Amino acid sequence: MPMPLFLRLLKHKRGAWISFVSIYALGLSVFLVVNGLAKNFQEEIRVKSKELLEADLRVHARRPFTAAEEAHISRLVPAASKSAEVWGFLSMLRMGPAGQALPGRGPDTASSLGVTPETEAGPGAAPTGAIGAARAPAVRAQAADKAMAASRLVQVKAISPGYPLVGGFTFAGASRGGWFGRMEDFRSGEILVPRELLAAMKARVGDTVSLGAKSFVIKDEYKTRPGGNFDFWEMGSRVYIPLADMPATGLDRKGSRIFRYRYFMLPEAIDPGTLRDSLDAALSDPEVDVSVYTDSGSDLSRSFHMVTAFLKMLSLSAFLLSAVGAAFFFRHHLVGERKTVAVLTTLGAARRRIVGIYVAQNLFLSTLAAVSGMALARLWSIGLPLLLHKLYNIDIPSNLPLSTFFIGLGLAVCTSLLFGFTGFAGLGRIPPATLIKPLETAPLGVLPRIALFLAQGAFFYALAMADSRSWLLSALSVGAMGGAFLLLGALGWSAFKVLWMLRSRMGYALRIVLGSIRWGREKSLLAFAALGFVAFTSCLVPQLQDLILNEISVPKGRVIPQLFLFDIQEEQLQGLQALIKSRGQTLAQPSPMVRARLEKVNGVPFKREEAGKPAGGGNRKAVTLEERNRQQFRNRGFNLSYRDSMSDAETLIAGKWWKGRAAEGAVPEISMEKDFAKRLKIRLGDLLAFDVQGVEVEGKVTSLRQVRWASFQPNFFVLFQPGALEEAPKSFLGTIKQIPPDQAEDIQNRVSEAFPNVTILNLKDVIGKTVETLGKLTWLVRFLSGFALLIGLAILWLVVDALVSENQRTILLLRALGEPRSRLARLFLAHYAGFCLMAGLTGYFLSLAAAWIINLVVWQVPWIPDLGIFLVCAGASLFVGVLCSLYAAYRGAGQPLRGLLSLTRA
Amino acid sequence: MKASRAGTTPSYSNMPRLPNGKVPIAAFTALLISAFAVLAQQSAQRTVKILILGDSLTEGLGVEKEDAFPAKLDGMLRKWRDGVQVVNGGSSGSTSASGLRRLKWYEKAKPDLVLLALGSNDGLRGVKVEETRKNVEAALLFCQSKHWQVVLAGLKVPPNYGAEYAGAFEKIYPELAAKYKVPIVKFLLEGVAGEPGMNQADGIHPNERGHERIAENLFRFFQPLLSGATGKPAPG
Repeated sequence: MPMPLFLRLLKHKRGAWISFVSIYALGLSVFLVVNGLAKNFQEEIRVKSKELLEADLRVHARRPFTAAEEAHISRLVPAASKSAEVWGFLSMLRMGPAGQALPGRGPDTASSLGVTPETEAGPGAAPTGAIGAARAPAVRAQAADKAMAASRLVQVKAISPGYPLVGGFTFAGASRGGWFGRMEDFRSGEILVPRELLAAMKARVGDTVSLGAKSFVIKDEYKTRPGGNFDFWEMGSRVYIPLADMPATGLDRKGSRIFRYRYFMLPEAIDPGTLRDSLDAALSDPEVDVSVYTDSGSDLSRSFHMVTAFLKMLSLSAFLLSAVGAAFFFRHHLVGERKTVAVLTTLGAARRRIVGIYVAQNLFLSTLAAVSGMALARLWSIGLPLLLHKLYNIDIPSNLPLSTFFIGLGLAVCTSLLFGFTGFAGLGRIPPATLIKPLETAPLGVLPRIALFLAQGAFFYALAMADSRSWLLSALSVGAMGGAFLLLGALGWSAFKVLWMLRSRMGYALRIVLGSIRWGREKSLLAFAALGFVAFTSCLVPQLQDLILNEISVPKGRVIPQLFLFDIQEEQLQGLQALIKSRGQTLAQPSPMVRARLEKVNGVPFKREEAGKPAGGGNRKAVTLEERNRQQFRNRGFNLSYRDSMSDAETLIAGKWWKGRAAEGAVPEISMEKDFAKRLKIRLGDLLAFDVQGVEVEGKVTSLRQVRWASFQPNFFVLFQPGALEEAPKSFLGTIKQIPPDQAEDIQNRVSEAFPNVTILNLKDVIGKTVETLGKLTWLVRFLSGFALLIGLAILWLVVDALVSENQRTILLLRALGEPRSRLARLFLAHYAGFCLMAGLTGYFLSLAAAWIINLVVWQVPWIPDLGIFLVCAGASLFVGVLCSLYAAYRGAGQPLRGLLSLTRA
Repeated sequence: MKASRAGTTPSYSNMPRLPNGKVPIAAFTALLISAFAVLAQQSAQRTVKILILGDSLTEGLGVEKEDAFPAKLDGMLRKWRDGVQVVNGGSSGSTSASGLRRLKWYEKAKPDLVLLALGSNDGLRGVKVEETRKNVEAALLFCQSKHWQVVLAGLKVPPNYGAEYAGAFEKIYPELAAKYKVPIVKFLLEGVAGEPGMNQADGIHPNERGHERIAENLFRFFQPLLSGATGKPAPG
C-alpha cells in the first residue's frame, strides 16, 4: 500500500517531527501526571479530612440536644445516612474499682495523690480494703508508687455502637484472648486506653480503673485512634468507654460539661456543605455546631488549596509550554513547506487538498505525541512512587485515572490543531510565485491572526476553568501567559527595529546577524516569543514554588515539635530546662507570654465595632474560625511576647526590625502580624497603649511580619521590643521536638510530677498526620517544579537548535567566503547567546510581574523577588544559548562546503 | 503566718471553737465586720482599691471589658458609694501558679483588698489539688504580709471530673478561709455555672448576663463589708 502523501512529505523532515513529538509528549506527560497526582492527592486529602472529622458531617453541642433539635436533625439528615453518637468530656480516671480506696493507700500516700485525708474520708469513700491494712513494707512501697500515678485527667469518649464511621483503631493486643480489635466486641464495663496512659498510671491491660461511680476493665491499649482534630480544652489522653455505661458513671449531672457529638456518613448524592447550611439555619442556637469534613484541618485545607492551585497552574504551564514548542516546530515546518505548497499549487492541487495534507500531518503527529505522552505519563506514575519510596520513604498515590488518558488524547489533538490553525489558514494563500520569490509578508492578515490568537486564549481559558474551577485563577493564568506571549512578540519586534536602525554603527558580524534575523523575521519573532515564553514559565514556576514551600514546609534546620509545654512560671523555667536536659532533650524556643488588653490607638480609646458586635446582629453563631476569634477578641485581650530577633517562621514585610533593647524611657517598638494588623486597622507608626494587668505600657508599631503558622512554632500576633515587658507577670511556653514515644512519656511524667501546673500537650497524632501530608505536598511541588524547569530548558535547546539548523546555509556561505572558524564561533555566539539572553531576561521580568499579581490577587501574600532565581534563569538561558551557538559553529564548521549546493537546491 | 501579723485585724488565737474545729459562725461574722470596720475607717480618707486576681473568668474572655464582672462591680459600688475602685486582675489561661508573681506586679497598684479568684484553670486541667492549695495559700499569705485584706472566691470543677476530684478541689477554698480566718465568697459562679443563658457557647465562660449576676452577688457580699466606710450614698 503506497504511503499517503502527508507521510511521504514528512519523511525528509525527521528532525522536525521528532522534535515536535518529543516536546509535545513530554509536556503532555507532565500535564497528565500532575493532574492525575493532584486528583489522587485531592482524594487523599478528602479522605484525611473525613478521618479528621470522623465523618462527612458532625453536629455537636455542649449539652443534650433538645427535642426540637432532634426533630430537625432527623428531618434534615437523610435516613440512609450511617450515624454514630459520642459523648466527650474531661474526667479523672482512677486506678482501682469505683468506690474502693486504692490498695495499700495510707496517710503517707494520700498527699502525693493530691487528695487530703478529709476528702478520702468523705461519704463516697469505702473503707480501706483488707489487702491494704496488712501490706508488707515492700508491697506498700510498690503500692505507694502506684498510688502516686493513680489518678489522671483523661478525655473520655463514650461511644455508641457503629463508632467509628471513618478510620479506625489499631490495638497492641488485638489478637489476645479472643479480642480481635473489632469494635462490635467492645462491651459494657470495658475501656480502651492509649499506651502513654498505661505508662503514666503504671497500669496494664486487664487492670480495673474507675470513672466516677463505674468500674472498667482495661480491654486493650490502642496504638492509633480515629480522628485527629484537637480541641485546646481536650488535654488529657483519650479513653473510650461504651456510651451505654454513661448513666452508671454518674458523671452526667447538672453542671457537667459534656459535649454531645452526632456523626453522619451521608449518601453519595448528598452535598455535605448544603446540608450543613440547612442544619445551621435550623439549629440556630450558638451552642450547637455543625461541621463538615471540608472544614476540618483548616491549615491543611489552605495549604492544599495553594498547592493544588499551584500544581494545576504548573501542569497547564508545562502543557502550554510544550504546545507552544510543538507549534513552533510545526509552524517552522509549514514555513519551510511553502515552496512545496507552491509546487503542489502549480501542479493543480486544490487548496483544500493541500490544507488537508498538512492538517493530516498535524493530526498524525499530535496523536503520536499524545500516545507517547500517555505512555510516558504511565511510566512516570509507576516509576516515581517507587523511586520516592526507595529514596525518601514517601508514599504517593500512583494510579492515573482512566479519564486522564482520554483528556490527554483530546487535549493534545485539539490544542495542536488550534495552534497550527494560523499556519493552515495561510497555506491556502501561498501563490505559485513563491517558487521563485520568497514571501515578503505572512500569508494571513493581522486581523485573522488576532482572531485566532483570541480563540486560542479562549480555548485555554476553558481548559483552565475546567481544571481549576476558578474564573479568577483561570483568567490570571491564561491572561498572564497570553499577555506574556504578546508582550514578548512586541518587545522582540521593537528591539529588532531599534537594532536595525543602529546597524550602521555595528561591526560586520553583528550586521550579518541582523540581516539573518531580518531574512527570516517571522521565524525569528516566533523563536524569540517561544524562547521568552519558555524563560517566562521557567522563571514563574520557581518563584511561585518558593512561596508555596514557604507556606507549607518546615523552616530549614527546624524540626516539628511534638510536645507543647505551657503555663511555665518564670521561676520554674530554669528547673524545667534542667529536667528536660537531664532526659537528653532541650526545651526549644521558650517564649514569654504576657497577657494584656489593647486600650488605645494613637491616644484614642480602642473600639472596634465589628469585633464587639456579631455581623448581622443578635445572637448569631460564629461559624468560621475568624468569627470565633473575633468573639474571643471582644475584650481586646492579647498574648504579647518579646524577642531580640524574628524566628525563622517569620518574614518582615514592612518597616524595620528593632536593634537591641528599648532605651530607658523610650517608647518600645512593636511588630505585628500583618493580617492581624489589617483586621484591627493598625498601621505602621501607630502608637498602641496596652493595659498590662493594671499597668499601661505603650509601644509604637515599627514593623509588620508574615508568620508561617504551619511551622508549629510558638508564634505571636504582637511582639514587643525587649526591655518593656520583662517585669510584667508572664508565663512561658516551649516545645520539645519529635521524640520516641517512650521518651515522650518519660518526660511527660517527670514534668507533671515536678511541675504540676505545667501542662504538656502531646500533639503527635494531629501534627503527625498534617506533617505527613504537607511533606508529600512539599516534595511534589519541588519535584514537579524542577521537572517543568527541565522541560523548559529542553524546549529552549530544541528551539535554538532548530534556528541554528535554519542558518546552516549562512554558515556555509560565510565559510565559502573565507570566514575563519573562530570568527564564525563569535558570530554565532553573538547571534544565539544574545538572542537567548534577551529572550530570557524579558521572560524573567515578565514573570516578576505575573508572580506579583498572582501572589497578591490569588494567595494574598506578600512577595519579594528572588535574586537567586533571576541568576539561575538568566544563567540557564545564556548557558543554553552559548552551548547551542558553539555547537552550531562546530557543526557548521565541520560540514563540507558542497552542502551549500544541496541546501540551495532544497 | 497568722492573720494578726497583718496588724490591722484582731487576733483569732483565743477564738472559741466548736468540737469539729470550726469557728462559730456568729463570732466569725462579728470578727469579719470588725476587720472591715478598720478597712472602712481607712477608706474614709482615701479610695478603697479592690483587686480581683483571677483568670479568664475575671478578665472577661469573650465579653467587652466593660461587661466583665469587675467593671460591673466597680459600677455598682461607685453607684452605691464614693471612694471605691475595682481593679481587674484577670489573666486568661493563668493557673494558680502565677498568682504570687502577679500579686508582686500589683504591689505598685497598692490594693487595700484582694479577692483571690484563682484556680479554675487548675481544676479544668486536672492539676493536683494539693498543688492548687499550695499556690492559693502562698498568694493569700503574700497578701497578708502586705497588709492587704483578703477575700477568697470559692471555685468548683464540673461534676464530670468525678466526685472525688471535684469534692477535694472545692474544699480548698473553705479550708483555707477557715485556716487563715478570711472571708469567702462561697462560689464565685453561683447562679451562673451550668445555667442556660448565663454562659457563652463554650459552656465555661459567662456571657454578659452571667457577669452581671456575678457582679450582683459580689456587690451583695461587699456591701456589708464596706458599709461602715464614709462616702456619699448613691442617689435613690
